[in-house]
Amino acid sequence: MKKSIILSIILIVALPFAAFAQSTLKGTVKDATGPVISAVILNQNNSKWATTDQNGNYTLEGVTKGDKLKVSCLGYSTRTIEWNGENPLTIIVEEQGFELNETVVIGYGAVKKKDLTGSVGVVNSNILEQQSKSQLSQSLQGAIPGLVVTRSSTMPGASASIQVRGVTTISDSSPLILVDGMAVNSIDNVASEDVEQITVLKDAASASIYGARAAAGVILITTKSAREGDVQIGYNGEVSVVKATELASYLTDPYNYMTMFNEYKWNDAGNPIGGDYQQYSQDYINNYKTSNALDPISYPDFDWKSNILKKQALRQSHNLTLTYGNKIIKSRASISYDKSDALYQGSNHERLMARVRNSINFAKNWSGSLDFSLKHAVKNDPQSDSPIKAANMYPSIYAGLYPDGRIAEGKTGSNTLAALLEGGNQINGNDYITGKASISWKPLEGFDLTASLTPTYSFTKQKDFIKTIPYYDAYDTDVLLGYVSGYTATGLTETRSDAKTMETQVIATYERTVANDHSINLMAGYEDYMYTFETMSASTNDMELRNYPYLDLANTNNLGVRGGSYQNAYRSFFGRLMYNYKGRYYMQLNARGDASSRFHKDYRWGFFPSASLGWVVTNESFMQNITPVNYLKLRGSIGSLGNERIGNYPYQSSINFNKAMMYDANGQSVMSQMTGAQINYAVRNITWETTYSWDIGLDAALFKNRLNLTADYYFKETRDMLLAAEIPTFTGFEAPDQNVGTMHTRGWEVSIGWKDNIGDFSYAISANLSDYRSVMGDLGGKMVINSDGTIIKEGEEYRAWYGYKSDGLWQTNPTGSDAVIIATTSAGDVKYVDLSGDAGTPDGKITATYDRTTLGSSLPHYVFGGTISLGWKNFSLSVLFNGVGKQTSLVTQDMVRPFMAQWLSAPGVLLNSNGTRDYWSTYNTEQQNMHVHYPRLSYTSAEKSNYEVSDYWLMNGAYFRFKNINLSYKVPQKALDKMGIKGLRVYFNADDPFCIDNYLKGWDPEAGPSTYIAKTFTLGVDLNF
Amino acid sequence: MKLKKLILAGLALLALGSCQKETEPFMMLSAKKVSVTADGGAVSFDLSANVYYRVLVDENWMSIVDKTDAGDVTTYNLTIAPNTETTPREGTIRFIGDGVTPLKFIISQAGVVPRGVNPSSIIVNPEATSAKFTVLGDKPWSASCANPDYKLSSQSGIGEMEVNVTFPANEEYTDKTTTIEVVIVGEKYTVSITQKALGKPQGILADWALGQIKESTTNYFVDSDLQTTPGTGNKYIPASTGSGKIEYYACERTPDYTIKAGYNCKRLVGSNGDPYVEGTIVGDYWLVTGEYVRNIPAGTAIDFYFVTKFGTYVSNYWLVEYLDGSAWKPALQTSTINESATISGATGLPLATPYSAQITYNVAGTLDNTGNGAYHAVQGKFTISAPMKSIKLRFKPMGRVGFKDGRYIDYISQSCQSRFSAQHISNPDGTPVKEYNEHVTLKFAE
Repeated sequence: MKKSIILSIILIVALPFAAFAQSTLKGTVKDATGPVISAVILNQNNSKWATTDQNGNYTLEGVTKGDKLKVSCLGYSTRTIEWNGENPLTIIVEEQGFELNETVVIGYGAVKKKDLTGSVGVVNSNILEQQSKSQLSQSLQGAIPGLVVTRSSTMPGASASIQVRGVTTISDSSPLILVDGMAVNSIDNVASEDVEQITVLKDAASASIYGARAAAGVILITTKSAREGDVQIGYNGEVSVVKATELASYLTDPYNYMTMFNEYKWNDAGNPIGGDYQQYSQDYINNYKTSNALDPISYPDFDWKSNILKKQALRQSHNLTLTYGNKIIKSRASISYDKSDALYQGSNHERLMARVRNSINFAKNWSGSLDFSLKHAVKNDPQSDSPIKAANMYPSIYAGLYPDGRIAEGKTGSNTLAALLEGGNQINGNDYITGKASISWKPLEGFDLTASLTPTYSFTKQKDFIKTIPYYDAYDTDVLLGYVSGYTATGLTETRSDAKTMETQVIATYERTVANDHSINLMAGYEDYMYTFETMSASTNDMELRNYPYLDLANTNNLGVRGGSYQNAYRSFFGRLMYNYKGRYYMQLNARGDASSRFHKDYRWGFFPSASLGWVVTNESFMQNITPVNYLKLRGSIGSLGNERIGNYPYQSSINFNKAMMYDANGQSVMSQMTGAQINYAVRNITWETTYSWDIGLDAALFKNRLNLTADYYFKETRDMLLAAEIPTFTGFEAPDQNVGTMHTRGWEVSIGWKDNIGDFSYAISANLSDYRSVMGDLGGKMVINSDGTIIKEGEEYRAWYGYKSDGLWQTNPTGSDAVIIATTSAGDVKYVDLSGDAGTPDGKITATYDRTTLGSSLPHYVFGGTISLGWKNFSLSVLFNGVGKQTSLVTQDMVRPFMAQWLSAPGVLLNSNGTRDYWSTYNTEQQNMHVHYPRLSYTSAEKSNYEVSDYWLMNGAYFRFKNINLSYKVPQKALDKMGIKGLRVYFNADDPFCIDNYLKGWDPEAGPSTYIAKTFTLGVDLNF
Repeated sequence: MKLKKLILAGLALLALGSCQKETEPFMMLSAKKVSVTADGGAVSFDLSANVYYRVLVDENWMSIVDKTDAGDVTTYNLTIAPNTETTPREGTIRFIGDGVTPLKFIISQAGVVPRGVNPSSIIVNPEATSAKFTVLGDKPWSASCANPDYKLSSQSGIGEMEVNVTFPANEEYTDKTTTIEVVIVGEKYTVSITQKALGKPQGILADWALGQIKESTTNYFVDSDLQTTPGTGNKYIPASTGSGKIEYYACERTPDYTIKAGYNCKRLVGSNGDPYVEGTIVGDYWLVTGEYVRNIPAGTAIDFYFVTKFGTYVSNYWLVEYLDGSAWKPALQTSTINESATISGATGLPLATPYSAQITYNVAGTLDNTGNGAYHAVQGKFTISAPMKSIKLRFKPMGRVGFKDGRYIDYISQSCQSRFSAQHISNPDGTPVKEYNEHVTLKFAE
């Protein structure tokens, strides 16, 4: 099957390669300032082409009078002219300023940017290609205002989460992603190199055409396709060195560890006089270094960080593209391979992607397309706890390895390094195949009827193999001392899942201009979609062999099998009317009716209309003399969007099967029997969440189109939000979902750009800024306190921080009348404010019920991004930046709490750079304790008081990040012509090289405690034949 | 040309060098363990290594005195100090190298073998008849005991051996200590075995609950008819508690007694369990014997008790005495009295020769208010001066004057009764007490 698919692709790509020969045209391509280099002149009649040299000169063979010549060049508006026989021919092209004529893909169609009335964000391939990111999601940070891309890692295979205009619902706010019209489950299923354009449909008017799944916005990805006249083989290769931006420092060294651990124990013992050395004697500590030099087995000083983490990892990527296009066939095939290693052993991500787009005009008025894509990705990970945490936090007085490299005991069997090296692995493989076949009929001028069939198949394969890790005596390799904790048995779990979708679509469009002034575009369509998921897994434990990860040697006494399946389906009708009068007044009406299998048949249909208006002020006669303003459009839209992503069968009650103890038929004895019981109380009339929104905005271009400006203000309200309603527990049912909640999001976006050139020097700068605030409305009396320290509560911002208010640290021991959480609170512990009590006034106690309050927003605000591009002759330098202007982050206990698990090291931030304590200590002077930032070392207080969620641990998480610096050099065409090379560019990329922040020292504001953000330095080459 | 050759040679060297396998780090010991005697001494071994390593001597009784290097091999010479303790000991020299498995060289040193006997002093219970001791050491030895009652399981051997000693139990009331001499290569060691003394006898030696053992008395004591044969007639009353018997010894009847109605001597039991004899005359006696499991040591005091009642025609003066060694001794303070009679009991006529005699006695009978013999207790304490296997108490009439009428006892009749009585002693006013709970008791005095 696979072979035949590949053969077909090759045939489709190879068949049209043929050429025709004619006479020769010479000339020059110029812009307002002079010759244009590397412009492509394509004869659309015979697909012959030529490029301009350093002086803008070209020579094109096989030209006949009347042939249509298409001239294109990056940064210039494409121009098509009919050759009138003039030879030599000078062609003048205009530099693109504000890309008003740029075609933007919208739902089920494409329009010129100037004709947009909705709020749409666009990213073109140049922004993506200049970054060396394996995952497309990571490349979008800061690219579009209102598109919030949040990442906690750039480790191999890590994706970023994407939200359009913030939070829409508490269930699932991820946007709908379509690649060439095919819905995909992840934006990372597309290679960055294949992307031509990404369009983000932000407001209701833009997105409602996708009604059912568009509540949280829509991202449309258009992949590159061949254009008429394209004949090209391209190669892009990159080799990258990856390093962590920041790695936290912990006090793992023997001296600090042991002295602080003694203090930690001493504090909890009540600071008895003379009891300072609770765990390690003074002599032991003082002599440790010498003891280690003599006997590193008994007195280890083991560098966990260097043993677990590599200084840098490597990444490589390769992309090969074949492109050909003529009047009949246009075909583009690409294949990409990339592999990224993590900073620790056993973790990598390997991906092979292939994508083919073919279109054919096979008869008059008939055309068709056949697209195909394949992604094969494998993520390997060690079967261990977080290596990052272990590298940072394991104290060096515990050895992970003996000097000969064998596994040592670690800390009484805890040894993440051993797990990393010998504990087995997790393999997550994913194969994702999509196809799209369509046929179009154009019986009339302006009328198009297209039918398409889009199947996708996704196969995942997971293999979790965990192995025993014995550790032996340091001296006697045969004396087994024990097994590393958690690795006492060899077990294997294999999971196979497959998901398939089938989407059928019929779309009719009609476009006509009436009386030169009235442009009408009508579209109507039908779509149905079916999704089927099935999974099975088998597991075994206590396997006999520790190096045979296959189930044929499963332990038959310890087997488990599981399986499951679900389906969902949509059926939709939709339509759109776009009208404009003289390019001044625009109107767009959309409507979509969706039925979802997730609702009962009586409540299945949802109707989602929207409308938008646009007024191009600059096309009014009274604006013609206002020269600085080249373009000004005012826009407004209103509409509704639907969401039903709340599980597959929420309206149905379901039965759970379990073995239970039952009396036998005689009622005599109790026996285990398979039984079924209803587990949830279904709400039959559950139906769509609906998001109503409006948006006003403007697009402007000024100063000869050099300055462009886009601004939007929007509001959206989600009603009938699906929430788990509280029901009495005596029913025995889990809380059912009901349409009860509301939520409001209000926000704004601004983007501004300037682009110009001075002689050979060109420059451009753009920036965007956006913000939103999502506030919870009526939640039917429900309040959700999340484990991450946030709350979802009526009247409060979505996921606001929720905890205690603090008032510094206790400088003296609290008295009996002071409000504390635990009675053992002492000087040096965090002091909390007694806000209230059961009588509504402070009650002298700190309790979770009465003294916690909302502490502000947890969400990023003033999210910004931008680019700076400089060009001089063949050199170009581009800088992308992004960041968050305001964010309050809660530092996790891993970052600040000493001696996690009662033995791991203390964070390095507890000491100042000069070695003095930045934590409250009995050894400090009163003056020093007044200025420290961290509470005293204590297990009791840490466990129950000091590290509770409170504003004491909220920090400024704002940052400004240089996301990418790209320096490239385009080799002069003259030098390449002799070798038959159409283009060669070499470049150096620095991704995420710097970050300016005020965050906790040693921590990247975007990274989690078990992850890292990497800075990547890449050397790349673009080669085109 | 030269330059070209030089370059070629350099390249060849480089190629050769690059082909050479990189030397793996190693560290090896020629031996991992050695055993030495308690005397210690010198030990040497080789360590081969091509890495930096540390040497750690874990015990201060061994020390590296010298080392010599020969390439990757280092020879270590150690001195091991004598082990003065009996327990073996183990010490290690550790080698911790960079990038190689650390090694341990283990020295096991035997402990000093102890010489002598263990234990040297043994104390056993008086009942014990054996004991063990161990001859320690690894040399030839001999053992002997001067006391022939002490038998040794082995009288000689080589090296450590356990010797079993058997001996008779100690039946004495003093500790008995015997010494066994063990000679190990000329050195003398002794094992003393002390058999603890018997404990002082205590409690009841023998007791006859007469009211409760009537059946037994009937079976063993009662004569079927009149007895004429002197002695006990193999008749006795077994003790109801402890071990012992009550016998009645009849002496040979002489012609100076008239046998009235053919009456001679008859042992009987009363309805209340009293053993009694009809025909008691001077020369007869009751013999009470208490048997003990072993010798009763000299100096042991005995309490005795019984109740008796005399018939009307027996002597009024009796002597209770005990056997001390081979001599009978009064068990109570004695008195003397001169008694006389002039009327014959047999005929009622005056005697041809009036009777007169001085007699010694320590029990005298009394009459009750009915004119019969009263029930009275005879009790006291005596101490034996020689060890005795059993305690014997004799109770015998001493005079020939009739108890009630004062006539001369010159005939034997039914009225010549004597007894040990179960009936309670009579009240002081002479009235009898009709209770039958009196015992005959021999008891170790406290």
